This record gives sequence, structure tokens and C-alpha cells, in this order.
Amino acid sequence: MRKAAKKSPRSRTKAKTKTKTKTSKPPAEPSTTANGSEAPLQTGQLRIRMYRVGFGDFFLMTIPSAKDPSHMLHIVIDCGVTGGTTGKGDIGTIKEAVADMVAETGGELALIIMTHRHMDHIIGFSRCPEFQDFKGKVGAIWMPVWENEADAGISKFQNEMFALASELHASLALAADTVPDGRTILAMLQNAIGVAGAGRGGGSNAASLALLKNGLGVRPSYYCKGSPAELPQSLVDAGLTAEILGPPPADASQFMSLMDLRKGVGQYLDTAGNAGGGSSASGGNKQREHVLPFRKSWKVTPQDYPKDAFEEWEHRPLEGPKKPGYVEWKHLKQAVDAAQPAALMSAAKKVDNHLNNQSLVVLFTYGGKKLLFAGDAQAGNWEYWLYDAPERTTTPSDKLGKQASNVLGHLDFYKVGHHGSTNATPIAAVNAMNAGFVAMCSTQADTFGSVKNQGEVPRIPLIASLASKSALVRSDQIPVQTGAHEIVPVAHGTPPSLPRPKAGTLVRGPCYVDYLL
Amino acid sequence: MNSNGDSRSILIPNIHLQYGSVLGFPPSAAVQGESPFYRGTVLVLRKPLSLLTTVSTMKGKTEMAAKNSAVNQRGTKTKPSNRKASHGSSDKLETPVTRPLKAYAFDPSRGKVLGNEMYLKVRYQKLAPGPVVLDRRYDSIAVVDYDGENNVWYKPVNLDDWHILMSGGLDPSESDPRFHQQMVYAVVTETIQHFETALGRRINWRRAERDGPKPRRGKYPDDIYTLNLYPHAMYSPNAFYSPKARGILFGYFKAVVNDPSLSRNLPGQIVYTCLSHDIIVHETTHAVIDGMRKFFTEQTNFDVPAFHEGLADIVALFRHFAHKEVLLDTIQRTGGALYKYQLRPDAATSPDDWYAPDPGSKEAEREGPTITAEMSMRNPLVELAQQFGEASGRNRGLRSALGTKPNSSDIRKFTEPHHRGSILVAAIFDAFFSIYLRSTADLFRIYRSGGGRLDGGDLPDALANRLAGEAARIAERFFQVCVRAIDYCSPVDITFGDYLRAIVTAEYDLRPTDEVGVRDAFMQAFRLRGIVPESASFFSESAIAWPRPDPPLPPVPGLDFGDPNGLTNAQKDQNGDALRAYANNPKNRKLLGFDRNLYVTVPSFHPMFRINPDGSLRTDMVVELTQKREALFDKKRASLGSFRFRGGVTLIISKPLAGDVARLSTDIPPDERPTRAGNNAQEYPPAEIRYAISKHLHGTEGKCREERQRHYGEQMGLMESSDPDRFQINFAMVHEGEGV
Repeated sequence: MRKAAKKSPRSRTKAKTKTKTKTSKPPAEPSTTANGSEAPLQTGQLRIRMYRVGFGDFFLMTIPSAKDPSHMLHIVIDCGVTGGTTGKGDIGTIKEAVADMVAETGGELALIIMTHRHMDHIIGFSRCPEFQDFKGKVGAIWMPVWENEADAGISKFQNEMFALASELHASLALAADTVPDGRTILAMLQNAIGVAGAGRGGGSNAASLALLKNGLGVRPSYYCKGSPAELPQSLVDAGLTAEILGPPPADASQFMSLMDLRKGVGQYLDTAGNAGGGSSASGGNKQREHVLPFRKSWKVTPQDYPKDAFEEWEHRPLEGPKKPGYVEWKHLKQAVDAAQPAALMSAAKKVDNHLNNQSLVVLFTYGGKKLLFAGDAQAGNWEYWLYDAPERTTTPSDKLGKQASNVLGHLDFYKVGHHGSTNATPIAAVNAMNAGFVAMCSTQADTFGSVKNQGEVPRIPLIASLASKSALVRSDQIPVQTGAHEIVPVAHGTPPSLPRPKAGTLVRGPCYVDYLL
Repeated sequence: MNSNGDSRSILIPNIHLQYGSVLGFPPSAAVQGESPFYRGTVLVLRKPLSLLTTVSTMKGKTEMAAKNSAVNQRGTKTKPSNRKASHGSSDKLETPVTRPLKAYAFDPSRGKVLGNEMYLKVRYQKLAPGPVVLDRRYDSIAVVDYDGENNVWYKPVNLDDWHILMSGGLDPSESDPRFHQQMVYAVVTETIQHFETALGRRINWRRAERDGPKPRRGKYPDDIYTLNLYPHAMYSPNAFYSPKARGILFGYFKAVVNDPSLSRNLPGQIVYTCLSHDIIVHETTHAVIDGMRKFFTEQTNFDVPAFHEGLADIVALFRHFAHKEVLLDTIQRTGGALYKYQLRPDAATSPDDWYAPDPGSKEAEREGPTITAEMSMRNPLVELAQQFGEASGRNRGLRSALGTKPNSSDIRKFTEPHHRGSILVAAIFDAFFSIYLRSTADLFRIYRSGGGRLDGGDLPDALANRLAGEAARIAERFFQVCVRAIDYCSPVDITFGDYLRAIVTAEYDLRPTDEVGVRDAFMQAFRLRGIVPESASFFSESAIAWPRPDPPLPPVPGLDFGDPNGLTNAQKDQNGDALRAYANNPKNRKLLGFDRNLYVTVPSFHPMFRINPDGSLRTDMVVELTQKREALFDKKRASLGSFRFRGGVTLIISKPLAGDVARLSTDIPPDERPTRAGNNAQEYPPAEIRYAISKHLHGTEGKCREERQRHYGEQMGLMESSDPDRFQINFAMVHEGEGV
């Protein structure tokens, strides 16, 4: 650790110099070196570091060891990024961020938490050489119960979902532009299966999972709500406790809905009628075969239909003036064509939601401070513990459960769920949160959704709501350099300085923000 | 009534006829209705339909329908026929009442056995190739065979082609698209007829929302008047009702067969959803319900989409019990226990029947069927869409009538519309089988007391026939109850609990004496599945039924109930104005529990003509009244978006008797009572409201509902969009994964 601590300032100074040479606008905040945050943390102090990697999560939490207060204990929470619909989500900084993390920790990680298997949470583990040729030491690895391959049911479910996503991806890869919302669907699927976009540097979800499960010398623990979390002894000694709030235990109803989903999109998967096999991801070069249900001799033109057949599509005066060249059958055709391709979007969304809801939600308590890491949990995951429901419930009471009120009412830190999307931080949760905590949102604007249709991520009103209660900092508001020494611009409307939290300080680094508490 | 008379025609003795010359009377004489009786002529008179163009000039007059109606189907006048014609000797033939068409009773995978290739006698309608219904006096249907996958239009069938007429419709064939068109037309028409019989009125398709005190007249862009049916719209194991495509899209797909022994499809064969009787009925039901209650496709809680799916399955499953041959076969193979999943095979297996087994070998231990006849089959009556289910790799039907075992936790867990809907389906069929067993218990008792056994032997034909008759009759009654109950639901935000209350109320309203305990069977079956009404105070029949307004609500003046032939535009306008005025009267608005600051709209009003148990005709009107306001997802932050929060009241209004019959009660001295002869009031008294079934916007109930809807929107990710259509159920998406 001492070695790492020595190494660390050097790398940062270097980065800072580069920034200075390339941009005329230096970071508004004092650098970490300048304000002396490099000094080891005091006993009872902790630091949460959010790296700016783009649309993805990569957090490092650090506390001093109990035995030797100058020795730091580190927890990595997720490491991934994805390009999203626009392709702008991956800003190409993850390798540098991981290098920084290894320099900081010396590769000695007390705990790695993988919240769920989306690319924007795990791709870094296979993309970055520091992990692939890992020379450090890992104390423990936590994963959601959905990664437990020893459970045949879960394993089958995950394999099916992966096969479904891969096959859909393969079918759509070439045709994305011909299908409505094709790019969005493709981006969701890409995030699920972890096929890295060209030019951004390798890795795959499968390789990351393999590394985390078998390549780091420690067997992962699989948790769901209520599981007793087993922290490594060093962390326990240091005074850290952890509680698992999500995901809900896997139950039958959650299994069922996906198994049938595959059948719903069968036509996109395999036109040879052989969707029973496993993966048919053939590199995205398979074109959909058109199946003609009848002989060609049955083919006629719309003019062969009686005029009465299209009476429903006649121009209606209340629609406004009739456009010249209005043809009834064309309107019918358009309506039928437009009604169709919902299948893909539905399937991709379901896979996306399933994976997000598998997120491990962890509440750390350290020195009386409560720190909530919510992964990408969405409504189904949240409400399970928000409302003390024994299962996902259809009739929640409007009153939060005791545990939820207690946790949210005394929060010191919140990792904003799912990069700031509305689905991932319920209103009830925001309302129950006390004022004065620090919220960190690792995101990249203009990656998914759009402001125009109120589906932007991060969702502006949600972020505003959270910001009104907390000192909120977004990763895309940190100026950062890529490996090619280019400055990645900050998000539109970035405030000139970091907010001042009620407790502790926020400090900007070359590719991260630290919260010292 | 003469030989051509239709049993539904009404004999009216005291009328003026304008067609005296037709009957051979002097044209100048205004002929009294009684006169023909003296002259020895019996008239059967048929009232013209209200929307017939030329009929508007004939309002209040009658038309002779026995022979040569003065107005033909297309509304053009024909010459009055001569006297000879009126005596039934014309060479012109009467318009047929029904048109026979062939269809699959289930789907092609069942082959020809047990009446799977059946005749449907659907009502005769004049058709253009498609088939396209040309009679537009009511909402109609049109089959348009456009294939969006291949951008191809298939040749439309002309059902009036004499080749087809001669054979009673095209023979079933998977390779001829014209048969597919015929089957879709026939099954949809039959389903519509069933709904109309149960509801006591003609159905209509979805209408757009008409807001404000004076909604614009005319066809709105989102109205549906002709439901389009697309038998091969897409390459997809899916079929769905799409209001935007103004119709039903049926898909076709290649079968997935993992194990040929478990599926009657060839691997890769094309399966057509439009050839599944169940799927057609299911999708038609969606369209019919959407026409009856347009806000039931607006997602406000988990029960709303599930109700749509559940009811569509219920309607499809009850149709199974109309197929007598299958019913008789199933009765024989289950010993009358129709709810069993497996049917007894033709031949029993025996463990010692094994060809030359080597002693001690594993083969010697093998038991089970050797030939097909020894294999047990699944009960087709309780399974939905067998071919579709098998072809999509399920190795069974798509869904089942009794898919879930009774428990009270599923209702809190299941959120997917089909899974949740299956709880409703199971509850209804639980009640159905209870009543079936209760109604046939005496038959079984008689059979057993005569030495009959139910353990595997054949039942006597007479008993099987009686059982089949009972099952079919009860199925029809249950179907009617389930459909009529929709009229007794509030216009918005339906829940399963509301539906139970509606069922009990509808049953009570129409059949106050419940000899076999139908209402109790429903209540117990729902209770076992954790479905309990939110607002009822006790779980007793009288508490579950919606309460009658107490004190009675003020009667509604100025309503015109019309008659079974429909309302004219003028009558519709009059009723719309009367209802809007009534509902927006501040006093009534308060009594009905509406918000006093919001305008009350009238989305629909329908006169209903139903038959009482004593055979008399009963006329009611069902009216929807609604209010709406925008509610914020987050009360403190408008920027997080809003949703439409609606309240509404369903009124069931009885048609009053002409003249004030109440005055005939015994407390009026006999000499002051009006005589019957004097009972010729100029207009009907105001109509009494029998039921006002409400969902309020305010108060505790309103707050709870708003909170529930907010939470639902959040759970379903409906906050993240500005698309106003996102609250509408998208059946294409809902059906994704489930198929239909």
C-alpha cells in the first residue's frame, strides 16, 4: 500500500500536467495533490471515488485499516462502460481509470462487488490488462444470487436470457436501421451480452464474468435480500458493516416470464424453425429469411379488392383537409406495417429490466454513516425492500417499511441508481431521503433516450430533485482526458464548481471525484 | 304469424298503415290495424332499422316484412308488390337468416375427428369479396388479407360464389388463404352474435373520446366503425388487437418442435394463428370489450390489462362447450368430470403386455402405452389454443382454464397480464365446474343407485347426453353472466374485486332467485384466490352486490330508450344532451359523487333489451359518465411528468312504464285511479336509476386510487416518456412472449 501511495501522486501529477497543456480551462477545483487529500485517511474517515468512464459505473471505496491506520482497505464496486444508442456513452477512459485504481490500491482489494452482469458494470474487468493479468490480491467477491451457477434453475435462466439476447443481437445487427427504435434495441442488447463496440477496446461480458468467478483466486459469494453479508475480516475489524437489500430472491414468477419471451420473438431468432438450440450468434451477418405462407398465384393487388374493403380508411373530415393523392389502402398498409415490430423492443426491454433488477443493492455502515449503493435496481427490486414486501407486490401500501424509512431517512451517501434514469430511483425513495447527503451519479448525457420524449438518461427532473436534497455530482461533469490526450467535454450546464456537502468534502481529481467523509 | 314470420317480430294490433293498396284496400282509406283481421288477413310487421337511409322519411310508419319488404337491404325502395305476393306465392325468395360456413372447431392440428371441421351458421349479411360486410347500419367487419411481412395482398374470397354457396362454405384447408379468410369472418361474426345475445344490444367498436359540453359531430379520426381483420398480417407467433390498425392482426410462423412425439406439428411447418378458433375469439373479445369500455385499455393498475386477457380467455374457453361431439367424448373419457386434465385413452395399458421380454432386463420393467390408442390425451375443453402452444415449444396448449391452483398469494405476486388474468380465468371456471357438478349431482346419484359405476366404464348415452346438455347450458349461462357483468362495472380503473361485485349484481339484477347458488359459487371461487372487493363491508351476497342508491337518485328526464332496432341520430342526440345536462347539474353531480369543478362527459349510453326469467322483455340503459384530471407523478415536482386520473359512474337506468303506473297502487282510491284505456301519456315519465356504480376522484377512495395509479405508473416505467399513448395497453407488446 505504501508503495502504491508513493506511486499515486506521480501518476496524478502527470495527468494534471497533460490537462494543462491541452486545455485552456483548468479544473475549477483544486487538485487532489494541492489540497492534501493524498494523506492517508484518518481513522473513522472514508473516501468514495467515482471514476469518470462514461455511461457506466466504476467506484472505489477506501477506509483505513484498524490494525495499521496508514494501511488502506479498498472496495471496488463495478467496472464497466457502454456506448449506448448514440455510441457516445463510452468515452474511452476506462483503461486509465483502472490503471489509476491499481496504482492507488496496489492491486490489493479487500472486496469486489459486481452488482449485475451488464456491460456498463463489468466490461472493465476483461478490457483492462490490470485485471486480466491481475497480480494483486482480492479478499472477497460479491455477486447477485443470479450469478450462482450451482443453482440449476438460475443457471438455465441466465443462459436462456443470454442466448436470447445474443440471437436477437445477431438478427438485428445488420437491420437495426430498418426497424423502428433499432439503434436503441441494439444498444440494450449490446449492453446485455457485452459485445464491445469497435474502436473502444476489447473485452466481453463473458470474459469479465469468467475472471470474477474463477480468475481472481477467490470464490464469489452470491447474495440476495436478507443474505447475511460476509465481509472480509479486515473490513469488519475496520468497523465496516454491510447489509444486502436487493435483489429479491429468485422466485418462480420471475422465471416464467422470460422463458416465454423467447417464443414471442422466435421469428427474429431463427427462421429455420429451430430456436431450441443454444446460441446462434453468428457475428451478426444472418439476414432474415422471408417466409411466404402461400403460393405466389394467390398474390393480387390492392386494386383487386372491392372499394368497400377500405371504407374504414376513407378520409374523415375531422382529420382536417384531405391531402391530394389520399389513397385508402396505403393508409391501411401503413397502419398494419407500423403495428408490427414491437416484438423486438419488448424483448430487449424485458431483458434489460431483468438484468437491472438483478442488481445487488448494498448498504454499508461505517462509523455511523450510511452509504447506499443501488446498482441499476429498478422498481421491482426497490419495492421489495422499500415496502417490506414478502415478494413483489401489486398492492403496495403508500407507507414505506420501517427499514426503508430508517435507511433512507439517515443517508450519508447514495450512488444514484441506473445512471440517473427515473425508473431506478422511485419517487417514494427520493421523498423519504433526508436532506444533506451526497449523491454520486456515474453517467454520460446523450447516451440513451432524449429530452424531447422525456426519456433522457440521466433524467433532468430527477437529478434536480436529488440535487435539491443533496450535494449531487455527476461523473460527466468532470473534465477528463482520454488516452489520446483529448479532452472529453463536460455535460451541458455543468456548474463551475463542485457542490459543498453538509459533511465531508468533494474533491475533483484528473479522472474522478472523491468524496471524503 | 305467417309461415315466413320471424319469431322476434312483434305483433302490434293498433296501427295505421300507409300501404293499404298493397293489401288490396282502397288507397284513400286509412286502414285500421284491426280491419285486416276482419278481412281475414294477418299481418306480421317488422319495424325498419333505425339507420336505414330511406327509413328516416318513414319514421313512425311500419313496413310489411312477411313478403317483399318495401325496403331492401341496401336501402333502396322497391315497388310495392301486388296482392298475390302478400299471400306468400311470389317467386321471389326470402332473404336467408343465416349463412352456413365451415371452420375448425379448434385448430387444424386436431384433424377431422370429433367434429373439428364444423359448420357455423352465422347471420346472413350481404358481403363483398374479402369478406367485407356491406351492411353498414351497425358497426361491421371487413377481412383484408394484407401481409406486412412480405408486402403482399392475397386474393379475397367471394363467399357469394355459387361454388362456395353450394358446398356451405369452402372446405377447411391450410394452404388456401380463402378458407382462412372465411374462417376468420365466420368465427368473428359468431363471436359478435354471442356477445350481442348476452348484452341485449348490438355492439360497437372503439370510439374516440368526445370531450366537452358540445362534442363535435361526425367520425373522429380514432373511431373504429369497421373492424379490419388481417388474417396474415405478420410473420410472428402472435396475434393482437390494435386500435391503431383498426383491427386484429393475425400472425403466422414456423413451428418449433423439440420433440415430435409431443406435438402434432411438423418441425418448421407454418402455423396460422388465424386458423385457431380460440385465438380468433380471444382477439375479437379484446375488440368488443374495448368498444364497450374504452378506458379498460388505459393501464391504471395491474388488474386492468389482466382483466382484458382473462376475459378474452374466458370467452374463448366457454365456446368449447358448444361443440357437442367433443363434449360428449370428453364426458365419456372423464366419467363426467369435465375439469380433469387428462382423458382416458381408448384402450387401457397393462404391465404384463410386453413382447418377449428378457427376464430381468430393463425392458421387462417398462410399462406404459404401446400404441396410440393407449395414450392419454389432454382435455381439449380446458386447454386454450393447443396447436399454437405445441408449435411454440410448450408441449401443451397455450393456457388452461384451471392453470393455477387456488391460493391467495398469486394475486399479490403475478403482474404479467396473462399470468394474472389466469387467476381470474381459474376463478370463473372453478365456479362453473362447481355449478356443473351441483346441477348434475342428481343424475349421477340416479345412475349410481341403479348400479352404474364411474370408474372407467362408458356412461349410458342418455346420461352422457343429459350431462352434455347441462354443461352446454351452464356454459352459456356463465358466458352471459361474465359478459353482462361488464355493463355493471364502473367505467374506469377496473379491478378483479369490482368484477366479482359486477357479476353478483348482474346475476341478482336479472335472476333474483338463484336456485343452484351461482352467485355463491363465484364468491367462493374468487375468495379462494384472494380476490376480494376493496370496498364491500362484508363477504355476503347482499354486501358484495353493488348497493342500490339510497335514497334513490333523481330520475333522468328526457331519455329515449328506442327499441331493439337501434337509435336514430336524433334519439342519440337527445339522449346525449339529456345525460350531459343531468350529470352536470350541480345537485346531481354532488349526489353522484363527482368532483364539482370538473365537467362530466358521457362516453357511452346503450339501451339494452334483455329477456326476464319469465320471458318478458326488459329495457334498460347503461350509461358511462366520467371525469378526468391530470395528476402529477411527484406532487412536488411537476417536471417529473403527469398521468391522467379518471373517475366515473356507470348508471343502469330502467325504462319507465308509459303512464304513471305507480298511481295504480292500492293506496289510491279506485275511483281516482287512471284506467288502462286512459293510460295514453304523451311521453314517458323520467327514468329511474337502478344502480350508480362509481369510482370517485376524491375522498379516501380517490386518494387511494390515485396513489395506486401513481405507483403502477412508476413500476411500469410509464414516467419516462411524453408519449400520451403510453398509458394505453399495447396488445402487441402484452402478447409478446405469450403469443395471444
